[in-house]
Amino acid sequence: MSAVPWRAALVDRVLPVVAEHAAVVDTEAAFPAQGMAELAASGLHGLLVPAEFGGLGGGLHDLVGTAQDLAGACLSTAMVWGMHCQQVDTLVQHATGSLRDDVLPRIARGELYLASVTTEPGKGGHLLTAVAALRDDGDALLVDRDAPVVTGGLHADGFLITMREAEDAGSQRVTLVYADRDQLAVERSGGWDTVGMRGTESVGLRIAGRVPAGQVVGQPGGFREIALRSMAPVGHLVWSACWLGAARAALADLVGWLRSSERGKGVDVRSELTAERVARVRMDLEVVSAYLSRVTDEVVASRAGGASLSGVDAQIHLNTLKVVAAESTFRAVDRMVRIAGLTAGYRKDSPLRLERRFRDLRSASLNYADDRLLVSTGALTLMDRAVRLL
Amino acid sequence: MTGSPWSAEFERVLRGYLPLHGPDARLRPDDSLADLGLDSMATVGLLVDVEEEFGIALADDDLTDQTFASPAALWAVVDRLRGASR
Repeated sequence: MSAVPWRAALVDRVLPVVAEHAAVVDTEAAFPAQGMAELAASGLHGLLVPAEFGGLGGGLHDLVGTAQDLAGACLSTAMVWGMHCQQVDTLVQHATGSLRDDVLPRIARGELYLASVTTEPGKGGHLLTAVAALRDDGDALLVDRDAPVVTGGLHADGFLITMREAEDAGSQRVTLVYADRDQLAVERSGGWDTVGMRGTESVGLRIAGRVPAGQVVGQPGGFREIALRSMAPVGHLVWSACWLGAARAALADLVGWLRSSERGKGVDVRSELTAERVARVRMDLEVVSAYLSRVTDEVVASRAGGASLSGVDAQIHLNTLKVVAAESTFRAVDRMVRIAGLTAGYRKDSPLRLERRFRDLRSASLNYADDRLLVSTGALTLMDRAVRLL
Repeated sequence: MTGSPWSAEFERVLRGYLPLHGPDARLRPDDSLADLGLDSMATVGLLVDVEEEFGIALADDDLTDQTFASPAALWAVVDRLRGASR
């Protein structure tokens, strides 16, 4: 399925750097600058950029595969990179004209790391609404807003920002604009001292600046279509891939430990209890892996056919993927901690490093809240009497 | 409701699900229902109320983004089914 045959070689090149900095990135809640620099230098920042713009021309299968690989080494780095790729996909699918011709080659050269600015105070976490309005001063569009959570925002070279279309527009009329770092004043307005995912450095920002009207991505007020076609589906795919990659690496570490002489006397690998517990972990990961693969196929196929992914069944599948991946991967790592026990599973200084993965994966159900997606899925289920399962 | 292409009952039911639409503003055929605040939960409520009001049942194939895009699009489906059930 991979469109980039040398993807594995590129990943092999960056993984040691990503892994080397995983611990300090977590301890210091600091952006994974070295890992991201290596990803940029390898060409993987442009994984999804078409070859005609100098990119690797990869597809969504390449994205979910790479995200899993990176997450095994450092989930924060994988998430930062994955969300960059989510923004890249949005630009590839929806940017036109001079904006596209300007930004895509820069991304491919590794010069442009993108952050997403969609969070905003006072809108309750709704992706498809906006509070602060764009203002048109005749020459340019004025951006001025707060964003309480911007993954990697202090380190981004460019931003995709949601704004209300205009001062007289309703909160559902959302416009997506691109801004280069040097077009904005970016000020840190909040910290990021969290349980896990600390290396994403998802601080609060206050952002203000002027951008030409040509930097609107898609139609003014038309962000809903971009969200349905690109941002939400790719977000759910890449997040799920990241969580699965972290849980999978944890299981690989655990199995290696169980098969080695390092394991403590408290763990009897010949016991049926241990076998049953390990089986539950494996099954959770099997189900997420298969469902991720099928939903990726569905998104790729519907894009190839020009479909919008707005159908009831496609939306249910995307929501289900995110929630199942979040619940199952956290449950899996929780079970792994129990299997490994207090010393090998729970201690920070255990070579199994399960506690970091446990803390990181606790964020999965909160990172675009499962509750919100379940409400949406429930409503959509009532609209699908035929029960079109994936 | 003179001048509207749909019935007064339809307008009354629909308005109940459009929190961002001013009570005195006129509902236009091509208004975006999403822009007026119709989200996925509200869509279910609207669907059930419209089906009860007109004694109809929308087929799964009619439950698309397009059907719930605008008052005119939804009314077109309702009116078709209403006619068929008479």
